[in-house]
Amino acid sequence: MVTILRARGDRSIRSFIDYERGTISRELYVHPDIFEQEMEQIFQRCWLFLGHESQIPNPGDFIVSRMGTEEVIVVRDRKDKQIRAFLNSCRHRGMKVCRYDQGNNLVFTCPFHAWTYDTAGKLVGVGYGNHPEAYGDTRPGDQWGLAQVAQFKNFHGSLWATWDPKAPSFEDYLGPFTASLRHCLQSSDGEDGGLEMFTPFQRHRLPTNWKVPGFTSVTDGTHAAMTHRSAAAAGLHEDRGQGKAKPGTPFPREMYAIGDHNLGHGGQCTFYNQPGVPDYTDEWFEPGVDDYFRETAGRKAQLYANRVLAPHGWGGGHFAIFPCVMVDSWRIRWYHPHETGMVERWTLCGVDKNAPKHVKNAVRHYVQRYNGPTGFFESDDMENWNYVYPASRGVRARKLDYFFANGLGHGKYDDRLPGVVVNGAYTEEAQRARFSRWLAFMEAKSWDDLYPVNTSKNHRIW
Amino acid sequence: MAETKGYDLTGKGGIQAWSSLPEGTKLTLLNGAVGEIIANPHDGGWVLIKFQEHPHDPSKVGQEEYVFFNEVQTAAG
Amino acid sequence: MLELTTVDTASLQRVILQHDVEQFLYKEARLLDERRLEEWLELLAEELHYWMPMRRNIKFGDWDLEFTSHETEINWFDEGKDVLAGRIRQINTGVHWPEEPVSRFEHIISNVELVGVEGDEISVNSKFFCYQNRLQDEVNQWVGRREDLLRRDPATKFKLVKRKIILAQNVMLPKVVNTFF
Ligand code: FES
Ligand SMILES: [Fe+2]
Repeated sequence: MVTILRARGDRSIRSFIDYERGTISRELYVHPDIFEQEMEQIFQRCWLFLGHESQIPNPGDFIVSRMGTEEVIVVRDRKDKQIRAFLNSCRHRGMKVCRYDQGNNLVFTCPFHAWTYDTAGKLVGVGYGNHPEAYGDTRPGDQWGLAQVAQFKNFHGSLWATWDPKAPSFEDYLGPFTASLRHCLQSSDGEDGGLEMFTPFQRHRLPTNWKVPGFTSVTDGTHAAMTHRSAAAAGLHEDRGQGKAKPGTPFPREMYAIGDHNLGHGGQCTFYNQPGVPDYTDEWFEPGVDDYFRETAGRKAQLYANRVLAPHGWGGGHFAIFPCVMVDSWRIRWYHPHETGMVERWTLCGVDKNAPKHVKNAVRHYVQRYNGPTGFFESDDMENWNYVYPASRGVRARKLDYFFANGLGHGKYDDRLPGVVVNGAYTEEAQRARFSRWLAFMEAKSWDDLYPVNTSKNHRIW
Repeated sequence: MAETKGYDLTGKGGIQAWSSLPEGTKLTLLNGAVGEIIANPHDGGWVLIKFQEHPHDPSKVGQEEYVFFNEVQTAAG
Repeated sequence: MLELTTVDTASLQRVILQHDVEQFLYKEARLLDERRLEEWLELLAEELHYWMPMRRNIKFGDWDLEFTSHETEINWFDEGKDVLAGRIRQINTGVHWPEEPVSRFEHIISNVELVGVEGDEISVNSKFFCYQNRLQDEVNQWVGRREDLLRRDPATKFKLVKRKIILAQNVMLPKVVNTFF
């Protein structure tokens, strides 16, 4: 039995989730011991999102990204042009090797004692390395290169890594959502990997537990009506097309909230019940933009003449990859925990790499005014996600449970997405699925207990 | 043949001189080895050289190695 | 010693312009703090470009990389009067949560420096300190400078035509930026 919370009474992790009532103890969001354990058991094991290859096109290009609470250098090697990721911590005494957000380097030079690493992470020099009164035969060798991630994946341009050598392949980790991620990374004409990302990362702090925005606000169907009540008044989103949208020919589709209780992913979902692509609907203020997207949608329709669209992206909605990467075809939003009550939100927004400048500009202006701390739309989310935390962590408040029962017991498996529970669009199915998987991670001793999913052992389907 | 130019790597201007040493600059190291800069990372510490002479280890001739500034005696190019 | 009587007209005009520009910038700040956002909007030219780039940590000398481009990259703000008007409509709904209940903002403007005058247009630099206090104990602050282009205007004395806001931050530390600079 995994136990924690000595000071607040010994309890098994499992006892914090009440499967019958559909509740979760608030302690899971406010207790520092749980946070520490999550960093070990979840963030050290999972595949995490690092960025996009379009941010580092040339040999020697690098960006500094994060994996959970720590920084990683993501760099394209000068010699073999491959992208790798390394912990941003000098192997000598742990100084931050790279203090730049982005650049092009020959080597990463530690400013402390000048240990120096090339773009493949290899230690290529140490200060006083040849000095007669220094290292001599104790000079550090090849095993003192930068700490490299255990596994790395470039999936259609998106970059992912895990610290755990035993984690399953990235595709196995995604499971039935592989096609959805691939679709989200296609350009609007359906070309694989056809997106590029606007640089740089948009980054801001949010004083709350990482699970509030990153984990359980995923496909929070019932929040939008009230949270985003003011957005329509701004007229910067719903009225984007100034009422010029004309509904096209109806295309058969069903929309749901879904949760993969095996793997923890979930979100919105659109099942298209026939091959093809829905008609393009005009929606842009800026001249010429609709013309472009109508044309690319036409090409995509040819490509998909005999194929059924994946259930996410390009109008299908967003989904979240466990633990906290929210993916759509126009943006990827993810969360880096800092401490129990502080998280850092990052955003990358994509656009067709072959789009003309006026289209890129229109998309860029839209994503700038929509997302993050300066986004008219998401700023409302930030306030709610923020104040959940102080109002939940009091000695009395944390003894209460959160309600997660919306739609509990009404979900059904669906052949169109094997293993995934499909439920009403305004249910909390996606959130419950995340906690099915969360519990397995918190109890598992290693990936051996996590994949293949073992429902008879530690994995309890909610 | 062009005049060779000596760089003063000491004193107040030493760091600027070091950080902007161009490729092709010839370095003589304190141990007597000689090499030519093939890349300068402009980090204030290191340059990448190719050895042309090495008094103690002839096998290093033709090899590339990063050299730390305090191993260098003179720079000329 | 300077004799006041010998001050020439050009110098005097410059002092008056400095004064008028300062008064304009102070008024802008006061309208924002007094929550007279629609009146603030009237001080903006129709073709305003309101730009707050992000700022990268970069290697000494890589100056071109420091500010994000408003042509190709993501910025904190990169918009015109129409979008600013939308933001104000949103705040004024009373249900825009990060500004409900409304915050106590104080904008302090200083270091007003005339950079150039060309016909009707005046380039002016200034600095701002913006303090936000809301609910019981939430405090956010932004410090930076601005590079403005003003145009003389018969009704409001000036209109703001361009504003580049140079914020002294990298990661945005406040969760929401719900004021104007
Ligand atoms: S900590 Fe990096 S060289 Fe010592
Ligand atoms: Fe939202």
